[in-house]
Amino acid sequence: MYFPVGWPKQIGIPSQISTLQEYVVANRDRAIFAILTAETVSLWYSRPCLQITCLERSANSVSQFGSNQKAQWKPDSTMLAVVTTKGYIIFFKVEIDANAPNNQCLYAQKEDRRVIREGFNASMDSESVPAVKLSQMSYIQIPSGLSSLVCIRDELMVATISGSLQRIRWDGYVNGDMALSINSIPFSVDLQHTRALQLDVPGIYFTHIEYSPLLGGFAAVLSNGKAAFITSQSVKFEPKHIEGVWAQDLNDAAYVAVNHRYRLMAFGCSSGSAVVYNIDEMTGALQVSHRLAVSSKDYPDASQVTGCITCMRWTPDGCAIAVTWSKGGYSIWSVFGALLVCSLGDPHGSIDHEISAKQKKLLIKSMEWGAEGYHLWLIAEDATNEQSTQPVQHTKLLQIEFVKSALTVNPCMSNHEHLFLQGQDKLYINTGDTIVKSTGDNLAEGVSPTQEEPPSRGDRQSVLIGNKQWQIVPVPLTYLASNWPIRYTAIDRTGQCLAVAGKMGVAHYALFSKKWKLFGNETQERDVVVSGGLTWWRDFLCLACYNLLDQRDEIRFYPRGTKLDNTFSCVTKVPSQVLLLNTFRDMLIILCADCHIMLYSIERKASQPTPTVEMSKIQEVAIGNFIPHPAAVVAITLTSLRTESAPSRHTPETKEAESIILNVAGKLLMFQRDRSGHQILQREGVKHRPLPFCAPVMVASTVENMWSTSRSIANKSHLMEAMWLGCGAQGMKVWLPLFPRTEIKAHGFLSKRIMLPFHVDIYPLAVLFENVVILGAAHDMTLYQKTAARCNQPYLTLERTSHIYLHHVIRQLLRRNLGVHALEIASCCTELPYFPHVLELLLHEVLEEEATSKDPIPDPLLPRVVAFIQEFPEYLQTVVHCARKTEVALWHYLFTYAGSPKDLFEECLTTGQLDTAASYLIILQNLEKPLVSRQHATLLLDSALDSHKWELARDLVRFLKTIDPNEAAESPPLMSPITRAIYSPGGYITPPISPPVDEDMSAFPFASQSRKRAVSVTKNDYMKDKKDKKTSRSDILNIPKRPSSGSKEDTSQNAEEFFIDMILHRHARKQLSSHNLRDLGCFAANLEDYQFVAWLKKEKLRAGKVEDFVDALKSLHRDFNWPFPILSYDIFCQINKTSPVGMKSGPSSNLLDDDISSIMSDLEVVTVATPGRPLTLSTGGFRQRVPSDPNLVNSGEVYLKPQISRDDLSHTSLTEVSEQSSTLGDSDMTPEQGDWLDVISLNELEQRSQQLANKGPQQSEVELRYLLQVMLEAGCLEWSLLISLVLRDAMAVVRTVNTASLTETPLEIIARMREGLSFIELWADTECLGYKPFLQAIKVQSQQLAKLVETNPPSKFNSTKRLSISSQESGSNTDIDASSLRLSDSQSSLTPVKNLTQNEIEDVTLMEEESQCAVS
Amino acid sequence: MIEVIAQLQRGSVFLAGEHIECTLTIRNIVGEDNQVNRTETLAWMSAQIHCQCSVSEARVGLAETSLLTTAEVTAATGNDTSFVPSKGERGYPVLSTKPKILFCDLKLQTGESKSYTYKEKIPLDAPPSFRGTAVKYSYKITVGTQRLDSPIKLLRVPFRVLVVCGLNDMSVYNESEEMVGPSNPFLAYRKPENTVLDIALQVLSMLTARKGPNFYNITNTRGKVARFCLFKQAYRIGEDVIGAFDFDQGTIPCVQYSVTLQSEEQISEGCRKKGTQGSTITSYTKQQECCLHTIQTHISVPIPLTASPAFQTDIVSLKWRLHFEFVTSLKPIEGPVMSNEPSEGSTWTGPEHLDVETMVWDLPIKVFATNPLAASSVSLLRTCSSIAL
Repeated sequence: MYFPVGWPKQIGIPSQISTLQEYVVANRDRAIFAILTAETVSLWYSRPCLQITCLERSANSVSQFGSNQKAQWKPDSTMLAVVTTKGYIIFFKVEIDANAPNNQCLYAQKEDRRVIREGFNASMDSESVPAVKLSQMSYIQIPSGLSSLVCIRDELMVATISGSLQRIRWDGYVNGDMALSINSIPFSVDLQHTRALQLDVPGIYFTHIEYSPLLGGFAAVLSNGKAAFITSQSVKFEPKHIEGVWAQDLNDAAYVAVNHRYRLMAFGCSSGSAVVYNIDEMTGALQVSHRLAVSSKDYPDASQVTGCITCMRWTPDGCAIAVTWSKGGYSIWSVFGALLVCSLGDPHGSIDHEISAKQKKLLIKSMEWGAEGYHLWLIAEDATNEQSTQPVQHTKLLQIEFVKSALTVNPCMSNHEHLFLQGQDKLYINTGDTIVKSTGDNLAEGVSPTQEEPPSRGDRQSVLIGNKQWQIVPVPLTYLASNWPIRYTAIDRTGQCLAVAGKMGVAHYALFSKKWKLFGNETQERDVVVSGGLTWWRDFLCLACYNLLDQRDEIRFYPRGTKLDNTFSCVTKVPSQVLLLNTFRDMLIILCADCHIMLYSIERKASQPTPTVEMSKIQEVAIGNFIPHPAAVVAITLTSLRTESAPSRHTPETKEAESIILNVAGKLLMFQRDRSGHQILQREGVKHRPLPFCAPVMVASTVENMWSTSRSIANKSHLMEAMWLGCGAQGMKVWLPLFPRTEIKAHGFLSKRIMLPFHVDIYPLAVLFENVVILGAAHDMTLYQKTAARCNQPYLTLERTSHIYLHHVIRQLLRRNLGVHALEIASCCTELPYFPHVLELLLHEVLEEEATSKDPIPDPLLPRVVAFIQEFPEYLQTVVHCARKTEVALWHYLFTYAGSPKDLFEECLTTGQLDTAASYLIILQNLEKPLVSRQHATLLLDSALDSHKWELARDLVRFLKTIDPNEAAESPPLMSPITRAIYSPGGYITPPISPPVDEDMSAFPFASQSRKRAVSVTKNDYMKDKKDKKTSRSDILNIPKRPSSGSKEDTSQNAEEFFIDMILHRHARKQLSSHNLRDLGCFAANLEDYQFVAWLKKEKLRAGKVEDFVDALKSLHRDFNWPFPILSYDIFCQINKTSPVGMKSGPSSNLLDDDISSIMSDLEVVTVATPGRPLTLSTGGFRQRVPSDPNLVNSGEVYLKPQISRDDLSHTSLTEVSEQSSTLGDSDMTPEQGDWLDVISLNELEQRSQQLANKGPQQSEVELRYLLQVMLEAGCLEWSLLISLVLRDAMAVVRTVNTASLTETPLEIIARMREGLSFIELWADTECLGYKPFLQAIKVQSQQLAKLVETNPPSKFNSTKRLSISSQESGSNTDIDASSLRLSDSQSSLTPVKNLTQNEIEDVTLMEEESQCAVS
Repeated sequence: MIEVIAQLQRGSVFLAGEHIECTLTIRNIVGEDNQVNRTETLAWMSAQIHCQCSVSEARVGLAETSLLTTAEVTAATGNDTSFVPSKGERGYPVLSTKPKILFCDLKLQTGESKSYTYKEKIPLDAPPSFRGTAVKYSYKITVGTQRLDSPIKLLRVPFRVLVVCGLNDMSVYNESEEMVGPSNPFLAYRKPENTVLDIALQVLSMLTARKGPNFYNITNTRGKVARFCLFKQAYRIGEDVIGAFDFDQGTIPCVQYSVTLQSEEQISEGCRKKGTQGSTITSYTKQQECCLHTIQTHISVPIPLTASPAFQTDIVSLKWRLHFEFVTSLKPIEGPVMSNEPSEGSTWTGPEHLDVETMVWDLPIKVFATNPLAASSVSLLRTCSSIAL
């Protein structure tokens, strides 16, 4: 439609003559504007906007005839009639000044004696200003004074104040025969009844008349506020044949404007609103079509602010009307009454008050639309000088620029699916939203940028990225220079190719190449005038044009790929002027000015070198009998739609063009193919003969735009085969197909289509069929600081709006008991990202409406809506979200139908929708006793912990802690703080005030906006949604802690906390005893204030004990994605050689093979279980080596040192340890380790790589080390031993063992450690050989453990005590020692005796440091 | 036959510093030979990002070390089985990330398909995508894959990179949160609140916010022409440059003005072929208006979303400006004059000729990147490409 952009441009000329402009009127083609001041008549050219001439009437003339008041152009623009205040009409002649040089052009620019042939002063194009001469011809006096004048054909019709209508010829003579008095006109309510009455009250006259040749009469406003349509049977409008038809129920009319395209008469009233009438075709009576009244939603008390309507002007294409008010301000309405612009501003305060107050002062004296409606010329009283109390009035000439939808003049089908607007020199395109399917962390970028196998399960969420960005394509100045204004524009289906047609010629643009294509040959451009629209068909530009050279009407196809030149075009002659064209698949439909519709088939021939098009006429349909005038046909389209159920579906897939739909002045006529005849015969016989069309049926009225698509999507046929109608103030309508259900044999009474009306908050411009979204546009205001000084007007921009319509459709269908169809439609939209919101909107709207209704509802819709939503898995979520967005007062109504919140909560729990359950908790908190909500919260906490929803668990703990135990004990269902906040305002219908609820409202764009304006889904909203959800939840649960006052409360609170702690402990115990250490870690980390170490200390003999070391080790590997160690070949051989005797003696090779394969299978299991670890490589590599194993074993490894007898050494070390455990001394690595290192050094390289491959992710390692620390600290030595093993950290093992020996470690733990270690050794022997080397390495420790078990506990305690003391004393020294010792380690000097105690000291100190770190 | 489809799910525009995510779907489809039950094996697939810089030899002289022409690339490798991601590309790579192996030894039955996601961070200091006259930077994800016993095949997915300057040290923006680094490693699962995109958008909106209008009095030797007001100096691509003209205070009649949005591509001094080599001007939107009888008007010049924001690399820099042309009259143009005789009116007609001169003025403006999601919507790059093996 029409949307203003930018600031109004102020036009003026430095002049000595006062410039108090009075009136502006354009000539017929709107190229020249006449502007009147009191004394002058000036002519302006519209582009470039320059004053051509100005004629000042002499002072004598002004005093004799009065000052200028209004004017009227002669249709051929050769005369101008100016009405003066004293009742004179002065005629001026307007002609091109033949004497003017320079091709009768003005303002030719000369620079350096050379005329610039650029821009607007090129010789003969539209941008050159014609030298027009204005001269006074004659005048005539209307003695009684005149109120209005219109131009009827070659004469002026003048309404005088004495009540007569006079016809005056342009030469200034009165055509006396045709004069008539108002009292002689018979007025009736329609043209059928003969009970016409003449006016018998004297003194009534016509205050304003407007003529429309297409309506065959003129609309008139009478001085008594009544209005009528004056028509005549005769063409000549002879007085005796004239009749009047009253506009009924209208008593305060002040102004009239006639729209001949839509056959409407808009009567402006003194109340500030307007009533629009149409003519009943049958009776000729005037019927109210709609009203133009600013609703209280748009501006409260508009009628107080606006005053009377002073002027109304339809746009040149009749699609919109501009209205001005006597107290200032203007508004623009679409043809059927949708408010597009209202200068009264936003009353809700988004615009500065001062500005809007001034805006209201934009008192408009006169206005006129510019060419194609791109400009609105205004004469406004200057408000800037208002402060100065000068009596002198000032006016200024303003020009507001507009952009309009391409649908207004060129409603071809490809323009339907894109938001496409045209301005005077720019095109605006919005490519629409994109639905992006992404992994969850796409927008919030993930932590680890690793490649991974994406899980094939459906956790990919789709995100709708709203796109409000306009793409602006400027039309090239070279084309505009000679062809302004742009008349038709078209965009192709892909939204990539654009085409424009101005005064002459055509140009097109491709977004992908960013290049315009213009006619290379300018004469070709000048010889073609696009007269009936243009459209894209495949890669061809199709235009309905007039060929000036051959003087004929044509349809032309230009291929997009080639240069724009007539040599590539395919031309088809048509007999008459084309008014409209459209395509449907491979068919072209045109409407000719002779009331014939022609159907052509188009075929693309991929001929070389350029493709061509072959057109053949299929059918011609005469529609003259069905339409009043071809100009009244607004749109024409071919569709596959049918009204009645098809008796047999021959080709259900490829739907043919079944019907023609015409929009005739807002009425939708449908011409269907007549299938009643012998269709089968015809199908078998001559198939080229098309079926004739039936007489039309009227489908709808007050239609501004219609949308249908020729595309089809198999599972969305409901949506794709719907037809959408934009009906102005009535909102939208959808004409939905109802497919007969196959199982239930079609009921005879069920019609095949249903028309559903619904209200939209936006002005629709495009329908995205499969995405169930309507796109529209609206103007938006931006304030610039300077504007206050400039022109009081905000800067206007264009904003894209969108609206989801699915819930409207569903609701309407449910209302009509067509739930089955609603379900069908909804289920094909479930994958849309906003589908849950659709359900929510549906529920919310119905709930609000029915629960707040004052009258009892006989047939409530809510039960049906609830039942409908129950069909979807989003049911629970929808209900709770909806509930939280509505007032508590409405909950009762909601939950009567939706089921008890308790049940719903439990259902959430069983289905694992924990976040939703949390939302229900809020509901329960408000509806139930605190005790109940505490019970439920506890249940939820359990589930949250079980499913690792840490944040939820944390919030729940906080929530539980805030429940006042006293309240919980009280019996009456007291409301918690939140609820009180809601109830505190009192009253039944309270606005939702409670902050959490409110915040939640903002979190969901749909519900919040449904109350205000357009529903739009944008990425921002989405993001905000996500964030707000998070914050709001925690906010709700984060109720400030009560100040603990009394000791009694304290105790109860303690009890409370004890209770919560019990739950937490229970969970932690569960995790620990089932070896889920990672979950335990997360749990402890995420729940605030959880005393992890303290708890572990308590549990070390209970849940902390490890019964099955092997299983625990395996689960550690599994949980932390930690690979089992793999043997390198060399080590494998070593082990093979040094393997226990039993193994050697046995069928070794077989056994080993088995072992290896079992390792392999184990590994494969791991690979499968841990997606994201590309282990396949290593396994594969290993496998290939396996077959060659035996050979290698046989050949032996020559370079290996003869094996030291491990058993012996370990024995010695054991004895050493036992000997020196109680003495202080130097610390060293165990000789075994040194020895081991020595072996490593031999195969260092392989070892290193092996180590790398055997390591888990970095994150896991950090976590494991952290846990190790915690376990050591807490004394859970079994676990710390296990973690050390997994990490293959010998030092950690040493530390663990030392801790065991030095601290007061219960013997049972040590015993279990010893036992467990031996189990692991056994397991490693049989199942995981990879562990063997490491187990060998820590042999000492295992033996030490064994020793510890054997030794007498009391004596051990003594020694440990002493040691720990000493360690504390000599902390720093030992540190240095240790480091120096490490150096010697690395040299792997087998320096003899290891001093374990020193080692221990080092570890202890280290441990202390680390634990300090952890604490801090 | 195996078909590999690469798709950028989020669109084809990214900010430097963001993670790009490309979904690779490998399908075993029935090929031309119509062999139905055949297991196909892909030996491996790897992906990496690289940015190619191609320069016009006539204008840009680069140090020899960095020059590596296409011919050399192919010659150096020669054989088909080595993985050279930039093979067949123009110019030389200025950036390439480490190749990431997506899988090895993938076996697919007929009709089976598997999807992998390649995710990589675009370095913060990467140059922006740019198509200038002398220098071009273009980005692609190159996916290399090989069937057993076949040459390596490359699949390229072009994308566009926008650079937001001032993001080099992201830590500055994240500091305000309690993100001192979690002491407990188990808390690391919580995602950082501020992503690169969020921060970049914040920075951008800060940079391009309106900070009070700038007024320019446009004068020539004879007097004042107009006053021009620009409401902000810094813009995002896709925005409109809005400015207002006041002609009522002018003493020189201005007949016509035009505003052209221009970018200026300048080769850095060290890389110029000729010392005197100037910069290349590219014009985008032009707005022209006759303003002789206009008191107040405004301009609204859209900055194309497809344009490159201003940037600077070692080789080239891009700046933006508004280029004005004012056509002023040499002589004052008289308006209508009141006649002194009460019995006579007066007629005024516009002058037939105007002796004019043209003045030009360049006003630099800053042009920054925008939300890549908005830029994606109009991007002409395909987000999906595929090859058959």
